[in-house]
Amino acid sequence: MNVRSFMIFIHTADWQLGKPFARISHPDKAARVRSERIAAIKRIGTIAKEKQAEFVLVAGDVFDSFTADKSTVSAACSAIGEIGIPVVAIPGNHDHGGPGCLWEQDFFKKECESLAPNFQILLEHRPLELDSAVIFPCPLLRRHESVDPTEWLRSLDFEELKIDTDKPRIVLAHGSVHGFDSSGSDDEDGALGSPNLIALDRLPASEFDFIALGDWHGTKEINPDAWYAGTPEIDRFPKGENNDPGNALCVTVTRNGTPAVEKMATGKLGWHVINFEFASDEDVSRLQETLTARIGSRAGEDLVHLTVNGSLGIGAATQLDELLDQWRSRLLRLKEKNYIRLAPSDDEIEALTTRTGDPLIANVALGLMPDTEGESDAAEVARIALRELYGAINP
Amino acid sequence: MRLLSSTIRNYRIHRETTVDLSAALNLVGGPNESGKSTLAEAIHRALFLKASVGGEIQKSMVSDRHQGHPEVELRFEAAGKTFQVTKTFSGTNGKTLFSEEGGATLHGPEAESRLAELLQVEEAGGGRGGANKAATQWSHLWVWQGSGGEDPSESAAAHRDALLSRLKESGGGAAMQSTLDSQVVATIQEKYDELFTKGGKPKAGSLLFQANEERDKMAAAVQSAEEAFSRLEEARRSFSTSENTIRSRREESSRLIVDLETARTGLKTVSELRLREGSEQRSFDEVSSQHQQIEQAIAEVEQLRVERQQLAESLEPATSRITVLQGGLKDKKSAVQNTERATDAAEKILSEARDQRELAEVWLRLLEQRTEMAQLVERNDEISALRKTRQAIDAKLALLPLIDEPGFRRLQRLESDLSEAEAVLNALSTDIEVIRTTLPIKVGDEALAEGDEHTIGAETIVTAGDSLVLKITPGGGTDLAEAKRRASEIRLAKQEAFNSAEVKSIAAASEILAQRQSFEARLQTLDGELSGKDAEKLGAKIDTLARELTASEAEFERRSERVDSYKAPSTLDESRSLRDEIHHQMDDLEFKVTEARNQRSASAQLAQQAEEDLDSEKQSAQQVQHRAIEIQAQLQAKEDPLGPKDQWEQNRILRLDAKRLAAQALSKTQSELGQLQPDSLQADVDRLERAIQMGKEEIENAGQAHAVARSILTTDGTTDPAGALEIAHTHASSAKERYESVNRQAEAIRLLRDRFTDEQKKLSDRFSRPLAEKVSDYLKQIFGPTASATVSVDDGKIGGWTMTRDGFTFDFDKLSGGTREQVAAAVRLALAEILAADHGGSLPVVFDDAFTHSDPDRIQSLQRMLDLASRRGLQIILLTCDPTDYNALGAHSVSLASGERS
Repeated sequence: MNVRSFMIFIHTADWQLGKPFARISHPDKAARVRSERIAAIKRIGTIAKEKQAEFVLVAGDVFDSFTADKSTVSAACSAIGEIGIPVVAIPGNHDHGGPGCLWEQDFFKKECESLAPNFQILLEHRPLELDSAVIFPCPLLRRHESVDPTEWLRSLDFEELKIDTDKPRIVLAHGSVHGFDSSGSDDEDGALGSPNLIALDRLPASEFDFIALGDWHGTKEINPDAWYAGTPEIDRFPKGENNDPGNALCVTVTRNGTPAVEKMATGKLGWHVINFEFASDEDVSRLQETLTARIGSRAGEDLVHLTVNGSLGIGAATQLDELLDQWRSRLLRLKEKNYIRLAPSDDEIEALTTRTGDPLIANVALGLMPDTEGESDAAEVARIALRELYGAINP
Repeated sequence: MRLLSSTIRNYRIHRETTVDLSAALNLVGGPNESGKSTLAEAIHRALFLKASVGGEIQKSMVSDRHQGHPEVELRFEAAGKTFQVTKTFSGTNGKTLFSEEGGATLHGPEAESRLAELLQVEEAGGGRGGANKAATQWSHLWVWQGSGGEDPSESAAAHRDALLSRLKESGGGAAMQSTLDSQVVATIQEKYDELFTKGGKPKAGSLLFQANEERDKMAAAVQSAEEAFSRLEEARRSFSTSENTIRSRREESSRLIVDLETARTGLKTVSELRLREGSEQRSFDEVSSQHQQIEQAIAEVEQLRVERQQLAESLEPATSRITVLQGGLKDKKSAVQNTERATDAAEKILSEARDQRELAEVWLRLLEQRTEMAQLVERNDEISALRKTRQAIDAKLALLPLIDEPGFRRLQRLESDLSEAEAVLNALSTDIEVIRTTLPIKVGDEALAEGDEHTIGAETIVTAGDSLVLKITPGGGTDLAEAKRRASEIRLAKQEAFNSAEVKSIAAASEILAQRQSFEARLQTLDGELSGKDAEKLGAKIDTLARELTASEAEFERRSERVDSYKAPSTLDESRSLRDEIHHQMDDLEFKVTEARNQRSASAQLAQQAEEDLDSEKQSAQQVQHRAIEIQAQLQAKEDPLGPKDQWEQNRILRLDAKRLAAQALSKTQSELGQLQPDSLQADVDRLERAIQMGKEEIENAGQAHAVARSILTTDGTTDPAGALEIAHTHASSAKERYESVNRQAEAIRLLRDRFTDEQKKLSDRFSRPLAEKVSDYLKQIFGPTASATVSVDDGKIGGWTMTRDGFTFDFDKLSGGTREQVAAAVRLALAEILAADHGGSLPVVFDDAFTHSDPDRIQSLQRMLDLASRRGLQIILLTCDPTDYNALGAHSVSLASGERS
């Protein structure tokens, strides 16, 4: 068989199709975020065509759930079918194989056959020889595998495999590699963690040309021939500086050669993490500027995880509330971590407590002031009460 | 402000009444219908009601007995000056005159305005509304009859501002709740009411309630989703487990089947070996038996030979013993014969002696019988003589008529009875004698002629021709006839008796009776003698004795022939002596016979024993001989099958070798069997079959579980249980956060509401404290030093009175009627005291029969309270129908007489 000296394929992973995004309270917004994940597949297909890729490898977690429903399956199959070239995937910890798994269900098989004949899910530890490469799948057959999913490759007798020795060999696996734990990547949406540990150093390095990894949602190079592709459409607020999600990898590989990996942006939605410190009440407008700078005039395309610290006066706190309410409507989601300490200004304090004509208000406010100190629930309640009182006299 | 005097004219009962009032305590007394309340009303209307009032109110003032319009003239002090107001209530054209002492007089509206200004009240308008309003003016100072127990708080409402202002001053400048305060409180309360019920629980439909419900709902949804997911997980586990079970069980079953086949093969070998073992055992038993037989036969022959020898040896001494025994027997038999002869001789002598004894006995009896016979014959002769004599007497007696003693007495009685009957008859009968007649006379049927006599003893018809017929009834009537009949019967009986006795008279009968009695006595004597000699039985006795005598003689004859030497004695005594002697001899002879018999018996026993010993010995010897014959026969029978004796040992060795070979074969087979452990092999087969069966069942069960799990795991894609669980968790978390947020907000509202409530109370306490202290001062006058009062000021509204006494606190409306009157009075006095500051330090307080429910003791103690009020500057005007109750008050008294006032 005539094999090119090199071949190109698309390495992607962690599509998490059907992820509910239940934290997004508005159903339309949640649907928008979900649908964008399908759109990302289509973008991968576009890239594959542009790069003349031979096939697309999905390193696990095509679906967010191992019992994904029909509509999700149909949408996924339709998008995969549009890619046009072979799409080969393994089950990850989210859509793991095993008894009763999605991959065995009739409705999946029928939709796959009907809409995505180019799709192949590998559920066994058996090499798949494609026209231009040999895939060594390491599927997860349960959510948490107690043994290394790549263990079967360690003692493999390659002579007996009778595969084309000129074809590049690609390991397809899902899990955490030693020295880099991807199990914390699930963030708030479950924190499920994947203990499916992969010992790359125990693999016969010379036998494989590329290790396509999934599980970590950011694009990550473990070594020149072992990469996490990351999720093509961001599905959570990224953690850390080096987290780089929203990509697919275009990999050029040869047998016994060093692969060339090109990161291709595929993400559409903006997931922003903003930490803001309030030094004074005037900083409320500065926050507005910051948000505007990041989001611009877009609406319905961004999600923001905003952590605010510092202290604000009562009036400023109210302004902040109004500001955030405004952004809440614009954003797909505004996740707040509000660590602001209510610190009424001198004027506010005076307005509340120095009211000779309103002895009740003044006395109640005076009584509440010391109770607002501290981080206890009672202090929080007292702060809210003080704001309520302030609001009542400043309608 | 103090009232100085009042004059009312043409006002209902009053034509003109003037009352001067003291600045301190005034007591207006008077009975019912004396116009006390009218006076109080008139003063009040002079102060507050427009003079131009008309309608029913004006009419109510008009007197029905005095001409002229109702008019009230009032003098009072205010602001340090003296004023006089006169109001003529003449309807819409009513007049008001107002003047300051020494000053100009004001009229009409100007006068009304000036008056209202002085009294610091809002001028009442006209019409009914104005009148109604006027009626409420200073109502906290005016206690109308019957309203003494009412809460004065309401009546003080009109003076709230003034009161609060004064309270604020008294309370050290405490600020009052502002309008904004009130608005904020209302806002907070409104929010609180939206969130919470009165009991402080989340209100249904509120945001808090909804958030709480949503949280619970989401928690339930999580549980539901977890259950659905768990079912799936369980099915997955069951699927894997059952699959593993089927696989492992199948592998195990294959191994078990191989083991089972091995065990079954072993069992087959065992079966074959057991067959061989059986055959070899039988062979062994056979040769062993043959060997045993020959060994036993040889041994038995040897045994018989020994026994035969022993028998032969034992016969020799037995023969000797028989010879000795035979000699002894002969001697003993001879001795027996000797003793028998001696016994026979003794018995013969004894027999002879016995014959002699019998003969002697017979002879003796014969002699005794002969003697008795002689005696009997003699007595028989005597009896014969007596009988002859008796026969002669009997012959004489037979010749006499048969009259005995009873017969004679009967004759005597008949004789007597006849005499008696005839005497009676004679006494009763009537005698008729025909003296002379021409007519034929008939007495009864008997015709009587002249000179005939007739005695009639019964009713009799007597006729004299045909002309005379008489019925004569003798003396006793029917008794005469009875007497005649009786006499006749006795006569007849007497005749028959004498005829029967064959006598003619009693004398003859008496003689014959004497003779007969003499003969009968003689006969009786003879009969006695005969009886004494037993005459009747003697003959029989003689006959019997004669027969016995004959028998005895015959027996004697017969026995005499057997006894030769017997000589019969001639007398009885001799015979008896002989007999006794023979008896003695008999005893000796019998002893000897007994002795001889014992000796004979003893020798016979010895002889018998010797004979038995001999027989026994002979029998033993005979048995030995028989046994020797039997042994000989047995020997013959045993030796014949063995054949010639020189081949016996060879045959025995051949049999022994055959036995040894059979034993070796059997042992080998048994060893092979033991190696195979047949019992364990069978147990292995059983166990393996059981294990295989159980494996099958387990595979079957696992297959079912596998199918069930597969059916659960096979979904149609309409749901996503794993996704649903994640969503449920997220929603639950969001709902929880939402609830916590809303709850914090709600708790903040609750906190605000509570704080405002607290502050309101504090403010109220500060504000109302001077008022409460004054009320307490008054209450102490009545109830003692422990009494105190509290009052709340809520949004400027005074109320919520309580009284504490001896540690117990009571709400105003919970007090008794009398106590309520007293506490209300204290409150009014305190209110008046505070308000008096705006009226020159004094205000009048009118009590019109205000203590009708108070008991005499309280009436006394409340006078201290009224006195304190006056000392604090108040003018007390007390109207009562019983002024003597208030003698201790020391008040200026005014008395209104009953009836029309002038």
